[in-house]
Amino acid sequence: MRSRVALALPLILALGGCTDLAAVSMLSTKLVTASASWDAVGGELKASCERQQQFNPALTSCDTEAAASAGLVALNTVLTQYFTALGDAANTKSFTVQPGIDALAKSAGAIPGINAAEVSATSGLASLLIRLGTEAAREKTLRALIDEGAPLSKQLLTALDRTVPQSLQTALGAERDQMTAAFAIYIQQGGDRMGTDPAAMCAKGPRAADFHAGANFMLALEYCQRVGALQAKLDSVGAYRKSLASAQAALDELASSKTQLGAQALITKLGQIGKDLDTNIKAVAKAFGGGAKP
Amino acid sequence: MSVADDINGLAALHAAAAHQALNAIIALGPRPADPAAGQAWDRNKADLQAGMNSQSATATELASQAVLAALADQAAAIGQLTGVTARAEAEIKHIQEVSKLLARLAQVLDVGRAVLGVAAAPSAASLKALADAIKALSAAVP
Repeated sequence: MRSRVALALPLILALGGCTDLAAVSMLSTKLVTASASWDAVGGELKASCERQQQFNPALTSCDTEAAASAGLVALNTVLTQYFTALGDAANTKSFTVQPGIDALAKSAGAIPGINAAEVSATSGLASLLIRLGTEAAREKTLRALIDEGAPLSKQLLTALDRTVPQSLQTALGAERDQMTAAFAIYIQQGGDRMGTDPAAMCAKGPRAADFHAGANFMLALEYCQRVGALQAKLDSVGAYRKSLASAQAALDELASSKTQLGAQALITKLGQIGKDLDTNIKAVAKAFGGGAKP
Repeated sequence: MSVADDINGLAALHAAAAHQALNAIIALGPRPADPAAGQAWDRNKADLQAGMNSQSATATELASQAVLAALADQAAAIGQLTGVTARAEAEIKHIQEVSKLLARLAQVLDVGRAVLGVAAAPSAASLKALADAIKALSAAVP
């Protein structure tokens, strides 16, 4: 019996070594941050409606927009939980019973008359065997998460990409037009004009000499400040789409490399995807707030 | 084309109509000082603004309706992903429970060792050791 254990020991040692899944863990952290920034984007449908109500009396309720924002946040929560589970499964600490074994060996070793060396050897072997079991459980959990969860997550990200940017552009565009109309009318009623291209006026910056009344110049300044913030949000819809694409690419890489999650090639690819995500998340967070700090 | 796509297409049409009304409002130019012309300007402005308000409100509402339709389409996938995640977290929790049970077993051994100590040499110190071991064990029981 002892010789069989001795023969098996090198194999146990080789198999029992934990796979380095630091890249998967890192990616999980970035995806969790990304989904937090998507919350801010989702919340924008409600926020934009409420801002537009300042200028549009026909927009009597924002209930539909609030429901859509809440639905998007709920979907992001499901994605966040999935990305978190991916990180938990990749984290060695989640799949170890070593603290329990150490406590058991310490207590057993302190019993009077017990051979401390035997306790140490037994607990060491038990530790290896249990590590094999836990490593297998970890692999099974991770594979299930990737095999079953990655296609579903990708499907949801695709659905977000297909609908949310267009909806957001329509809502933000309507808000911008309503605001432009309100300011244009105020300025025109004051005997001035905003020009046929308000965006061009704001790009150059309004000039006092172009207005007969000082109040109209002040209105133009206020308009340009507001429309600038809104335009930044519209421009960042592209970064939001890119962050969704990066998350999809990461899930593709995980799914195609699920048997070699510690392979250097995958680590390199995930590292690059993680950098792309960082860049786009920062742009989204800067425009919409929430998630990663710009 | 999904229902969400159709709704978003419709929303874009309303948004485009609102944008045309905006262009017409800007094209009105400054309000004329002449009272009659000024009144005509006011009527045009009011008509254009009312139309624009209505088109923008509809576009905004439809944009969110499209999102709700897309979310409804994905209800099954959302439920399935929630299940996959819950099973994985349960698996991870199970491993952590095993570690806790091993630690609990160690505390049982500590109590047994303390009982042996009291039986071999009853003293205030050995009784205190037994009491401490029992306290540690009971503290670990939820």
